[in-house]
Amino acid sequence: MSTTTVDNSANPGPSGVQAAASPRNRVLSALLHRPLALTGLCGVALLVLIAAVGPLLAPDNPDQTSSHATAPPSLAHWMGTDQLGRDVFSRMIVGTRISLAVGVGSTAIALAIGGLLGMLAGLEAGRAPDTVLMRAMDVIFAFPVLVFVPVLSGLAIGRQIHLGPVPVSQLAVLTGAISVVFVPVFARVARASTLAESKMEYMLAARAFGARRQDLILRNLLPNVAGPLMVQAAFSIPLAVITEAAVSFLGFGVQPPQASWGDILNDGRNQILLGDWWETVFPALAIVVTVLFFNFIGDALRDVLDPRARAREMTAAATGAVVIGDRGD
Amino acid sequence: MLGLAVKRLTQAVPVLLLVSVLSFLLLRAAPGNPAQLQAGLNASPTVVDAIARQLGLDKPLYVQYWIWLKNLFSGNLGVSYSTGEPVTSVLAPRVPVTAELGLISIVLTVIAGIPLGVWAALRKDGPVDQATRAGALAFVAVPNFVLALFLVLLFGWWAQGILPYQGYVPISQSLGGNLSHVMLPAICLAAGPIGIVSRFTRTSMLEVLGTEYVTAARALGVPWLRIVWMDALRNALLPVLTVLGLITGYVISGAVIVETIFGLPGLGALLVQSFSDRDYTVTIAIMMIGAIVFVIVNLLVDLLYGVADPRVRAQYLRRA
Repeated sequence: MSTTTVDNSANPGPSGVQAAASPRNRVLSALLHRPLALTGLCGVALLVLIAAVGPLLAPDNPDQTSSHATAPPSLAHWMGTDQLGRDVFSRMIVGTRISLAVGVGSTAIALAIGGLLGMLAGLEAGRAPDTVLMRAMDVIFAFPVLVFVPVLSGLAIGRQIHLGPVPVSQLAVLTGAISVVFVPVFARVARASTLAESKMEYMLAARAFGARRQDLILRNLLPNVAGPLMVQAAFSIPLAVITEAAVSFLGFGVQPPQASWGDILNDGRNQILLGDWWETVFPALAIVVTVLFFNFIGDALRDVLDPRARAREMTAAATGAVVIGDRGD
Repeated sequence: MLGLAVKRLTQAVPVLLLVSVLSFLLLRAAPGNPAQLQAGLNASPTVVDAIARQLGLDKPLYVQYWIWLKNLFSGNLGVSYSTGEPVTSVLAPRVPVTAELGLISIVLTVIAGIPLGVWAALRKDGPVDQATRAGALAFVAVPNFVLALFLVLLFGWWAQGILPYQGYVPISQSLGGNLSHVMLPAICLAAGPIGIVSRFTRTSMLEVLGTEYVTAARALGVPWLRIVWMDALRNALLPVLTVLGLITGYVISGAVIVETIFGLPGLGALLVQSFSDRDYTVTIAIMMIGAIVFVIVNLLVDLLYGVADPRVRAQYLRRA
């Protein structure tokens, strides 16, 4: 039962299109041979490193107040100090872990739940389970993100939430709330890909042989739906990081003494009216750069893993024709 | 066309009802006792109980929801817990502010995003395409609140006095003052969507330009600019229309944060304030308005799709 039906590269065009053997190799070569993708990869690796060793790198205790309040950047405080005299650089370093953890964590949850729901809906296309699931997704989708997440996350502030017998921290509620927002996106991508794959002969064959649904999903569908889902994940992580920062900025996200980049922005909110730029500019830069890194990776992944885009490129290369080239006028 | 309209409406109504149930439950689950909040922290238990009964808080949850829904249809959104005023009169002065902000943002998105996308598609992989791609990526990468904070810093400190960066002036007072106060927030809300719309227009345009009927039209000697701007763009704009519908959600979301930063007295700023004050009747009303506007706009987009594309209409004719 082939899992690479969409793979055209087994039959490369006459113009010597790179015949990468497996999808994994294609992804790797796309990430390593494009300057932007490589930049993104290195950048994300660096961010993960900072998140992992976080507190070890911070020159000061991020929560230690001092009398050096609202001092501009200097050799002692690379990113200045905030209105409580805390070292902004140290707070930024420690905040990296929270910002990334919430961003990656919420995307992972949404990918797992949304992906599965979407594949189930796609296999049941047009029948009741499909309709119910997709309408439920519409309900979630209808809530504007920054209306929904702050309210859900804000409900957990200052009290202990239990999920059954398990106590859930406010940070977990925030992560969960953000993941809820992203579930419909993954469900739609998975459903659309499933619908497309269902028409393929290998799916027909698997069904004809009487494959059980879990086998159909895990062994036949998943390898072929994984590509678009991964592309979506690469674009969702930065959006989740932004969402977390926005919600924390509004004061309904990560609560002190913990601080994400969004909290630092929130702390600096009144300071910018006095011209104290450092508490705003550095976390803002961190967010922007993080988003760019993930988008660079996502762009490369999309080019490799989106079969339609790849098929178009293949045809163009194979026929040697400039399909949509530079037209002078 | 009627079939399509009926079908889409029957899909939208249950979605809206579920939206109302969900937001009602969420806010009833919120911490703090609304009766206590309205009575004041020092009020005696008997007073608090009386107010709880008056607000209907002693009844079962589904009865509370039913009462609330019935009131909703008669235009009664309840009473603000913090001021005691009807919610409708709390919201009324704020609706035009947010509506104006949203409309201007969408208009900016359309008049900048679509031409940029066409331009990039025509010169694929050339320096112009690369530049717009980088610009679009930057616009997508800079979240609206980051851009907003930067603009506050720019116009509030480094370039003072060019554009107002705080507050709001109603149109009735001064048109110029009104527009200048809305300009920075609207730019913040439109920047990201301009990037998204331009990239979608580009992709969609490239797809259409690669079709055989464009080649045929070219072979027949139809002027290239006419093919691009009249024939191809019309077809390419359909998917972009869907994106514009989805962008409404982004604009509503963005209004929450941008209004807060620029001190605009709109619904978004009120959402944050009311939730901090535990003024749940106001919060839920704004949640509902946000979701309803989003659903209705996307319903309209679907219907427009039917108007613009005969194939979509035909689908429903065949089924009916």
